[in-house]
Amino acid sequence: MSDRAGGEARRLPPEPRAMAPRIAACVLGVLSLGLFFVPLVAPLLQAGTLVFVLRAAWRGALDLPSVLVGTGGAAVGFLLFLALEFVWIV
Amino acid sequence: MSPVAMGDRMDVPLAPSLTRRAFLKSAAIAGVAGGYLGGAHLSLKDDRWTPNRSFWVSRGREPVSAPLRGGREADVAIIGGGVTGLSTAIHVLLRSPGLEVVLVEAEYAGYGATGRSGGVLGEGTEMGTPPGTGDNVAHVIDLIDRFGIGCDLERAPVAQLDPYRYAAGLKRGAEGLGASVREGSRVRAIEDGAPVVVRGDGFVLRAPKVVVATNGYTPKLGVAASRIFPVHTAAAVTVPVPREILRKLPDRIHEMTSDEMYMWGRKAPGQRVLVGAGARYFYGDGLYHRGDAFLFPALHRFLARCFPALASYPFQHTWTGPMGCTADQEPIIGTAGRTDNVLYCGGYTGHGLAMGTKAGSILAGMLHGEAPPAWMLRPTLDLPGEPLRYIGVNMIINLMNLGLYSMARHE
Repeated sequence: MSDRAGGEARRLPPEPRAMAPRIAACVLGVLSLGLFFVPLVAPLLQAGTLVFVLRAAWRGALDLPSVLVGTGGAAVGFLLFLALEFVWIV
Repeated sequence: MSPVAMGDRMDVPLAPSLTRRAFLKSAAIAGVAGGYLGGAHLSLKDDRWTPNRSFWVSRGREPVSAPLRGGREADVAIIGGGVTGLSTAIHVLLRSPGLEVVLVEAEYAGYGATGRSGGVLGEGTEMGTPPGTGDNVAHVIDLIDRFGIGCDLERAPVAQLDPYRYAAGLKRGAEGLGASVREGSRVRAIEDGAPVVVRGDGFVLRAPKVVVATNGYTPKLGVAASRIFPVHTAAAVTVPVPREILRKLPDRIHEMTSDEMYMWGRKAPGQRVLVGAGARYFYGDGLYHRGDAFLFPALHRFLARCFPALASYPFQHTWTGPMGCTADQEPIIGTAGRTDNVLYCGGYTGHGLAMGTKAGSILAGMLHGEAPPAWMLRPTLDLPGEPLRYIGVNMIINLMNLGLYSMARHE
């Protein structure tokens, strides 16, 4: 590959990703898991977390660990919420 | 080839980016789905009540009195035909024979928590034995003997009875003393004043003193709405169990499901085992349980885990219903209205059969100018309105189910 001037091809330095979406995804993931026992709030928070994380990942604003923390927290938290509502009732 | 280096591929849109409309749409769908799942016990503006399908009622219905119609005046009006209301009527008339006492009950005597309880008599309250509650069982047995109530009373080793027939017997006792017990008379509003006006379906009842003895149904009448709230619980009775298995079971079942919550139970008539557990608050002080396909299988699993011999004996009767609770799980007593002429009592948190009967004598004392026990007049946490009430109450219940929260007992 050569640049417009026909010179030596060179790799562009990666742009640093903004930290805010990554921190937000991690915080939302942790909250989704940690607040699984709060009715009404928990599933809304988990759904919101999933939407946020997937949207931010789609736009390339997240790295793999923050995606895993966000989606993992929401998914595990949601399973725990369901268990508490429907299985863990006695 | 793109001039953008591979290390930056996350910044390259792989597909057309989400539009604002698409994002809002997906967020709305997620919100609705989350709201549904989060509000599995949510039923806004639902005026229905869970019918009484208890084992006790299934054994046969007692005769029901005629509903109240038209205008009526009384010296004392009592709302609620459970143990508290019926005991109040009896004790008022034992103290002051000849008073005009009218008791109105929306369905029939023993329809509410009374007739859905396990029928186990216990001293004290859920949280201990406050002053004056150590003789609650003797008080119940005294009333049963006094009025000759046939309710399958067992005095030992555990005091227990058929609570529906106990309520029906109290009703006959109250009527025998001169009370007018009107069933099928649902109250819709209580108007403060002198006299207090109780408006119901097809009747208007006026009395200088009104006793609200509706326990978990109380907040719907606008009385003690921030102090008493209904929590739904479940109970079930097995099919008949062989005597050799019954003999190996404890007379009173009390198995912890967490550090705070427990499954209670007893041996029931007909060689059966009766157990109960669970707690759930429904939105808006809801009084209707839509049914829960997971509840009774979970209860039976736990029963079988505690008593493996019962694993092959399924439930024959299952039922749910609301019980009145308070923030500290102790019953309260109080007055409402500008001139304190509306008395209320409730919040037994599942221990109302004997305590509610005792509360009737305390309420009768209050109507005669006596002070109730100080602990029943204590201030309690004022619960917030919805949705914070739904979130807060069920969150505490969830934490109790997980064993992460327990309340201090008042010994």
